[in-house]
Amino acid sequence: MKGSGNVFDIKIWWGLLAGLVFLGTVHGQLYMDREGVVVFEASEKMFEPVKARNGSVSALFDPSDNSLASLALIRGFRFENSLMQEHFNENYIESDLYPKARFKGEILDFDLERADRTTREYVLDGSLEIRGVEKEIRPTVKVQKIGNILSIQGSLTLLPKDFKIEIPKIVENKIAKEVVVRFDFKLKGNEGL
Amino acid sequence: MRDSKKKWALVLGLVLVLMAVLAQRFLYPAPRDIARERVEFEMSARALSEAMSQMESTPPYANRVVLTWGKIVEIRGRRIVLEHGVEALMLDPVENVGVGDKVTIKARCVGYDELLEAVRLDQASMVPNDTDR
Repeated sequence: MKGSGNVFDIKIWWGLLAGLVFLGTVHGQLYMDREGVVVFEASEKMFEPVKARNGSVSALFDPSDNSLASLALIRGFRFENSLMQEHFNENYIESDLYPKARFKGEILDFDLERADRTTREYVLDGSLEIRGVEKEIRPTVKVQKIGNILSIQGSLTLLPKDFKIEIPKIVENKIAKEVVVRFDFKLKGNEGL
Repeated sequence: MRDSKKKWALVLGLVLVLMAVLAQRFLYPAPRDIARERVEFEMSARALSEAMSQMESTPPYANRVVLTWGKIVEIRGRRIVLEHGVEALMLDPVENVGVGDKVTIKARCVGYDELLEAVRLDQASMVPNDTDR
């Protein structure tokens, strides 16, 4: 009776240890950025720049499966021209109906153990949702790790029509057909969630 | 004859300047000044967080001026994080307050970030605390 009690105790201890290791893995290895930067530009030469910046984009990276998730609040994009910002929100993106842009994907063939100050290129494979429309994207990203900070930078080109955004004929010449989107995340590790 | 031509040129010039000024104001309106705008709704950080987290689209508070209050849990540069995940990007550098202080903030409500479970505010400024709150 005494012996079986000891075995039971050991099982409990192993269970607790496994639980702690699991919790340590989950809590210790998430990388997070609350102040990610996303800039998009659709400027045409000779016309006023069509450019906006959002410096409060969130991003979350999980090294256990190399998944990267990001969320940008559309109202957080700031233009230099406030009238342009108003048109962007009211007429093009309809940010009251579609207030968020979301990305979910994976950094292919990435190994956090190998990451260091050297900048390496990887393919980020995932889907981007804007205006409720999802599109598969595969931009190349530059990744480096300095101390506890994982830097992920990249750019991609999008077409407004892919997200059912209609550009009125009257401003067609002033807005580029292709929108260049640049992102810059500095994800801090070990914050836990 | 010469004088009347001069007069017309002057009137035409003034009209052109006036049109240019009006066009400039129409095409480049001044950006919103949230600190001077009227507060549209007031609620504690906890109530704001609860309300925002339950709305997926058409949030009634987004892009509107909010007055909210709560304890500071973190300060990062010009960002103040209040309890219950309310994050405010301040217009000015954060001075004279620290973690644990109760503050009241006037800001534009940008939206709710469900990835990090945070309410995002920007163009924020401090207002004096109301002891009744």
